[in-house]
Amino acid sequence: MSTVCVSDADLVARARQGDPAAFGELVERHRMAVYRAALAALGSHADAEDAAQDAFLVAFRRLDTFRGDSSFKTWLLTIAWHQAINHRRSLGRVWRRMVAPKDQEEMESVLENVAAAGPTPEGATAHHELRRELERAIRALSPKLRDALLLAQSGEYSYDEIGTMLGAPLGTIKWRVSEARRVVRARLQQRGYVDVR
Amino acid sequence: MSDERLDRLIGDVAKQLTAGQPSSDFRARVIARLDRPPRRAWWTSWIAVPLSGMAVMLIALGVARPFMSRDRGAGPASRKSNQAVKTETAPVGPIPDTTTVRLPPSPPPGGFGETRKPDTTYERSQRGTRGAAGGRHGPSSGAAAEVAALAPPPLHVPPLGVEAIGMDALPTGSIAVPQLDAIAPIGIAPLPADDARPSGANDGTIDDSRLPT
Repeated sequence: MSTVCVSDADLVARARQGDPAAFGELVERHRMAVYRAALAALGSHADAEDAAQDAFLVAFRRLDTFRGDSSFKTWLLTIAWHQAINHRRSLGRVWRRMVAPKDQEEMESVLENVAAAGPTPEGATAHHELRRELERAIRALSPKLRDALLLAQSGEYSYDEIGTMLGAPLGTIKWRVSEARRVVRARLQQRGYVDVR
Repeated sequence: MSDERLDRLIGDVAKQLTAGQPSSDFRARVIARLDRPPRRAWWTSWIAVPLSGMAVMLIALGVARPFMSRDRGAGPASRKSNQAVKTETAPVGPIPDTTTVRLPPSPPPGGFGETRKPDTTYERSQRGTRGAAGGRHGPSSGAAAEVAALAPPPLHVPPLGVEAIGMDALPTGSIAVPQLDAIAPIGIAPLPADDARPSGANDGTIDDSRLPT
């Protein structure tokens, strides 16, 4: 049976009746959003993959508790965010980060590729340095500000969805995003990358 | 650098930090894990292991309590045995006298003429108590044996034979008390009725003749 035109609610109803294909379709539809939320929380692709899989499993086991008050995506993202936060707090992950800070290098190589697209070698180097400093400034933000900024900038979620995921009102989310930008700018000014007016 | 450009750059970098895709077999992995039992969280072992240990200890205590109380119920015997051990090992203290001769209050059927054996009732009772305690408490009997090995050798004092006094040796005759002399009654003459006092009784003089000598 084709699932292209089937709504999430219908797929949920079929998955509740024990149809794994229906749940598979739900996974296919929302895997990117779930994965990126986990990546925003964890900063590591491997950890984000684990957390996203766990989130789908938890959602499958809790399908009976989904009442349909919000959309399935919002409900699923809330579960995914909690799973990612649990991963972030786990001692095992902290240990892995201490032993093998691989993700930092991963991210740096990505940024280097982006920076390599500069017009001149000097310009590319300056651009690369600025991006590295920006990345450091974003990583140095407090978790609340960083989470709001990364989720908002990912382009996957509306502010309402971010508010539901983080358990904060819409105004608070907007303020956090704005505050995160201000703090990053201030840091760049401190380092001399931006002119102080 | 303008604020607008900087904001755009911040947005770009933030988007880069969340860029990425799950693995191509993500869906298959999730579906494969649906049938498996749920993975335990990492912290469950940290809580479950101490809790199960405590539960085992509590159960062991609950099972052992009736036996412990039963042993406590048999306490007097063990306490007696302990006291016996203490009495044996104590350097200073009353040593039970096994040579004491106790005479019965009434003459025995055989009469007073025979020699009585020493009363060893205390010693026998002590021996019986020690035996009972040793039977119930295996480990304490070993300790008692060690203490007994260190104890001084028992004193062998021959019983003191006391010759009973024969009935024939007692004086059988009555005690003769001599008759006392009869005491003569003392006669007292009545006083005269007019009770006349001698002259000069109130004049300050003393009649020496009336004073006792």
